[in-house]
Amino acid sequence: MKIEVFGPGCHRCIEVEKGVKSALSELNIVADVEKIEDIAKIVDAGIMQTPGLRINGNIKCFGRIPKVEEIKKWILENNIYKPIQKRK
Amino acid sequence: MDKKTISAIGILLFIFAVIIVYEWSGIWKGVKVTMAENKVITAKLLEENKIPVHSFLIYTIIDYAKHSWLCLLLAFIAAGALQEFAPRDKVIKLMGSGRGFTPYAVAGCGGPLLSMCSCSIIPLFGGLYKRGAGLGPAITFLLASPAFNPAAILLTLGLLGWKFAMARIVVAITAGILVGYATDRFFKNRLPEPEPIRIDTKAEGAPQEDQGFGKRLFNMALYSREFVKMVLPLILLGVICAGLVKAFLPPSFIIKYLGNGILPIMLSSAIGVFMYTPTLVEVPLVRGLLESGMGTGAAMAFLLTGPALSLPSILGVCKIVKPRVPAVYAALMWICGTIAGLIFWFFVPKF
Repeated sequence: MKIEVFGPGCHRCIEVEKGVKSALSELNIVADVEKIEDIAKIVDAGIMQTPGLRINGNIKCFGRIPKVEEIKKWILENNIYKPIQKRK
Repeated sequence: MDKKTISAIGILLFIFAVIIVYEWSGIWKGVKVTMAENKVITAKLLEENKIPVHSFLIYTIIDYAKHSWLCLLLAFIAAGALQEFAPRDKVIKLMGSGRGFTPYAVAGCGGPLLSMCSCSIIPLFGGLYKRGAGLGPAITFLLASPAFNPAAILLTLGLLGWKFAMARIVVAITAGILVGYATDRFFKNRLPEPEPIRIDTKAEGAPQEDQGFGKRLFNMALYSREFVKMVLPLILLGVICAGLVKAFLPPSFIIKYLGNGILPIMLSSAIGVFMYTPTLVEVPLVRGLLESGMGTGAAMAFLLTGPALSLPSILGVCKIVKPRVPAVYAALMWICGTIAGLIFWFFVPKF
């Protein structure tokens, strides 16, 4: 799974990246997380309002900071593997 | 409840408390210091020469806080409200679809609805341009919105007075539209059409509409909190810069290079074009300069070109369009800044 965070490097974009990382660690899923800071690439991706989030080539949200719960939902929708259940 | 929930509720309560206290006691009127008095205090502090620099900085911070706390608070509320309630998708659509003058007007006046964070303006510019909104409106948006967002205007009102605030609104919109239109004319048929890009409409750009009003108010407080976290350190930086300017730059130096007259106005306009000024920092900085003798025209020129343009933003735009385009609009903006400064100086010769 490929997760891309778009943003030129301001406070809001860092917040999104943090959210993605904590969602991944909470779900116990490994994914490719990439932070894209090049403005030309952001524009070409069709993101007009940063920060933006793209999972497997689909833009999930832009112009706002999504909640960790939302990111979890998107990750689960796109994840082809079942999350590894932790044994109690 | 997590930390965010608590702090959002805290902010809402704080806002209400402040409004109640303000209405009830009228403290605001008591602490108001006029500009002339302030100048005398500054001069006294400088003359005595005994005070160390750090206490001078503290004095500046307290002085500025006294003048701007209410406006700043309103600015934070306005920023949060815009982020939550502004119909951003509609504004973008309007900017991209109209013909003739409409997109320019929408870009000039509706720009502040779209973004509060100055670093998100360039992607929006690129998106507008590649989506076929035309070069002109995209540039108008790029230039007008940083100088004319509610937070900047409210802070200007608090620190520089209503004349500066009014002039800023008028000048930012006019200059933005003029420069955008002129650049568009200049590059008509000289630039290849941008290849259109696919915009994913399914993306959830805005939060769902079916949220209740209370929930949205709560979101607004969250956004305000985010904005405070982002902007307050920057403003503090601006105030410290202002304090340093007042403490170290002799007034004679500022009067010579940034005083009244055509040359100082041209110079400060040019400084504004190249210097990087983060959102809202320009206001305390300009106040510091004005207190040590900057001319009103030069101040207006800097307020127009400072936030709108900077070397980093020009370089960022170069990645999207040919470098000729930012070169042309930077030059036009410099001329506009000079003219605006001259006009403002004519009407308001003294601070």
